[in-house]
Amino acid sequence: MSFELMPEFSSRNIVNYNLINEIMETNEKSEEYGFALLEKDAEMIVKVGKEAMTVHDRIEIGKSVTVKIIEKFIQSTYISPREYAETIAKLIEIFYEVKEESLDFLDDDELIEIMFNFFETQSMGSLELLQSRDMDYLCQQIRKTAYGILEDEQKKEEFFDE
Amino acid sequence: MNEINEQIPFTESNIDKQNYLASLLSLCYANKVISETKLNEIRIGLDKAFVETAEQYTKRASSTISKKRAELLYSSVLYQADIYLLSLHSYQKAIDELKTLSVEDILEKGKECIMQLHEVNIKIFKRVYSSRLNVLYYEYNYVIEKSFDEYCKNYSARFDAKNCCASIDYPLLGCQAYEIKSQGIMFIYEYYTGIMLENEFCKYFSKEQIETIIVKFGKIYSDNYSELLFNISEVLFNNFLACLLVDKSGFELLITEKDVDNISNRFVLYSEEDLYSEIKKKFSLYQKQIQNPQLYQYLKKYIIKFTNEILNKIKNECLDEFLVV
Repeated sequence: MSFELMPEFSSRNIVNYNLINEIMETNEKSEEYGFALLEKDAEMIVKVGKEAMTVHDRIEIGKSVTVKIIEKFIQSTYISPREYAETIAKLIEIFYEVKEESLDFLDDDELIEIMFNFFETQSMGSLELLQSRDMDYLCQQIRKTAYGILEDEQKKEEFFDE
Repeated sequence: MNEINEQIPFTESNIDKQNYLASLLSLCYANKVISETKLNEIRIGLDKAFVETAEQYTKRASSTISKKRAELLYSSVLYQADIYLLSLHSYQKAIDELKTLSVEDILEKGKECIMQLHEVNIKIFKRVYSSRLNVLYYEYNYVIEKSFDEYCKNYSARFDAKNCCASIDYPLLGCQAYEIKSQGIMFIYEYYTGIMLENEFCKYFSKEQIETIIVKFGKIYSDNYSELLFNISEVLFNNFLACLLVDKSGFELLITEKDVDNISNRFVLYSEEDLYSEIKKKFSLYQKQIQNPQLYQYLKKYIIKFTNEILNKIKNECLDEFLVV
């Protein structure tokens, strides 16, 4: 057996917080909006988050973003109590996907805010539209800006406008 | 010291210097030199330092980073420890430090070493710049005019310590830049120390002498030397050593076709070992004239490669492709 120094980033989180308890504690607030999660829902959400991080080759370095997502999205006018757990799980999946695809350009709070605004005003509560249209477009724009493509395209347009 | 030696069942040569801490701990673990409790304490300390570095990287605004970035950040933490432990110049001392100091202290000392090394690098570069050669050679001029600035501007010991952040293609004497094993700030130190010594060596020759040789060298391969990737001092030193082989004295560079024939005839039956001793002996006469012992040792290291190369060329009857005639 050898002594491995480098943490196995893909399979373990560096900071292990008691996430399930923290998720369950959000019920206090969400009940005001008529939502609540069962413990098995919380377990499912944690599992989905971990899987999403693995899929996108990411690791968690601080407090999980899950609670922040829950606290923001309970304010949504489009979430129904029946689909609450699945919606949160899907939003977490989208969050990690966008983090990776946007080259970490946005910090957690900015990204949650943008996701929420798109969800409320563009995709009108559709997770599919949020993921495959709105967030995908946002990521494309960020990547194009980062690689200087957007600037080139704008220059081309300006050239033809003249 | 002897007592310590007896307790450690491996030697410096078993340790990978490019991953010093990881390699040393691995050996200590396999040979039970450091207790498992202490090893775990070290691992936890490194993890803690990594989390702090990652949080600084995201400005504490992101709970997640890519695995690729995490690996860069973790290797930067390890690099800080490596720099300090390597500065002790003894793996026994390094093990003692690992046993007695906390990871936090080791990393702090590593940071101090990095800062000091950066200051040393600046001093070395100032010497490089003031002794730079006046040649129209892009690759050489790039490492003088641009690369060091790139390093100063972009190097991050905290977040990407193993990357020197400078574009460097110009080779050193007997060694391509990409063959240098050191990384990050250590690479810069090793590389510019080499350039500094090579500039010093070139100062033994006039601008005209240098220009004549490199222009002719270019003609061996193409019309213009500036289109080739080669080391200037290597071309000069090859000719200088060849001059020694035909008993020319002083800092001579000019080799005639007759000299080439002489070398071929005289040394064709020499073994590599015999020729190496012969050249070393002749070069040792220059120890006093080359006033800087560091430069003398630096040049001496190349002789083995020169010996190998010149014997090959003699055997293949293409010495005139190696020496500038």
